[in-house]
Amino acid sequence: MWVYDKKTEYPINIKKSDPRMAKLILTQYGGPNGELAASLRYLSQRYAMPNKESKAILTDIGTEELAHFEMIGTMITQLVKDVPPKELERMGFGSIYAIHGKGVYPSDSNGVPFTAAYIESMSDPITNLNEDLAAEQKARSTYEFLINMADDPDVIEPLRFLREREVVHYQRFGEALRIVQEAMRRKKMYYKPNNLAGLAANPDMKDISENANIPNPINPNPISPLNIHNIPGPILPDTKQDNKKKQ
Amino acid sequence: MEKLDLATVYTGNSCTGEAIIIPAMPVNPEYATAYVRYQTYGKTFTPEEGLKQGTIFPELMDFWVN
Amino acid sequence: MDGKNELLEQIRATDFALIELNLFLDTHPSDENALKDFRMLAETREKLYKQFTQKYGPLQAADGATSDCWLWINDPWPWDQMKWEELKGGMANVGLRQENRVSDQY
Repeated sequence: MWVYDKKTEYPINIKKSDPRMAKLILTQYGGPNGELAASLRYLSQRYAMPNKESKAILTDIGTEELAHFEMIGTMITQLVKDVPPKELERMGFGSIYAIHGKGVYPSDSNGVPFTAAYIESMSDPITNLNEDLAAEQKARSTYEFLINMADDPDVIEPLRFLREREVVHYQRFGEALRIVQEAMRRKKMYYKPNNLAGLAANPDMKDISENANIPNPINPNPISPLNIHNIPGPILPDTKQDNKKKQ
Repeated sequence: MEKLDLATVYTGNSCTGEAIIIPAMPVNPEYATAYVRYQTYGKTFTPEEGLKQGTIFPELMDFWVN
Repeated sequence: MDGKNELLEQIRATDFALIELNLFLDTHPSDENALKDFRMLAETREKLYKQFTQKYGPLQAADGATSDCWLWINDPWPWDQMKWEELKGGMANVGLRQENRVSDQY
């Protein structure tokens, strides 16, 4: 469950109204590369993750994304505060004001409402983590585009902060992926192929089962209780293939 | 022997169970697999400076000028 | 609104460092140096939180009932551009004034 801290992660105090910017920033509130999408993606993916490091990192980064969601909402509401409607319309915020007034509504900068179609959550940890890596890069790029269009330091500072956070999140998801891959790699060293009949026909192909017990140079007697995948036996085609375990 | 850039995670709770050793980059990378270099703990910024930069780790600072 | 609340900014910075270390430790659970730094920062944060709550009111709902009134609902909320005012004798803030902003008629 969640505890709420009555402060934004990064200080936000915008002194100059800017409805144009408010509309642009909206994409990080309810858009495809935004914080709500990120948060729901990570918090939904964590249930199917097999190892505790992934569960932890998805929970903690998902929680931080909610804090970022709050930051964007705060910026939007501060940017349109005290602006007369005619001025809002002149600066491009008119259609949003027509539908929501000055309320903060999860949509992208074009008013397209938020949808879970922006996210994916599967039971395959490698797929999930690769999606998360991509999501962090998309968010980083979007912040760069937004900063390129901003001129008020009170707006640029929080956006720069958020951009750097995406870089750090990428690093953490990359590490989580390493853990999952490493566990899988060790498990792979134990399976033997089901069907060795095809091998006799092709003398160039080595029987990979003879290499199935390559000792791990760092830990010669690994036991892997992790059961991430049920790895079935390989399907051996009768074409020549590159055997990477060839010695 | 040179100092190895490694991190350790464990299969059990509370750092018990089998140790899974993860090098900064893998010795024998696999095909069709993405690798991110594993970070090692070094110096950190002060909390105030870290908040300004967006991270407390200097090595994760991404210099970008718009 | 230029009067930054120094204590709040200290708490913000400390909490941020704790978040960073939290994420680092999630993928490096046995790193002694990171654990040490986390413990140190957590101690600092405890002290700062207590100071802040006594002086200005709660930052978390768990600290909301420190006086005869439910202070958790007090302004400012994070998106309000107001100063945290010192509690007068543990009672709810009275006469709260927004600084430098005309109230919105729209």
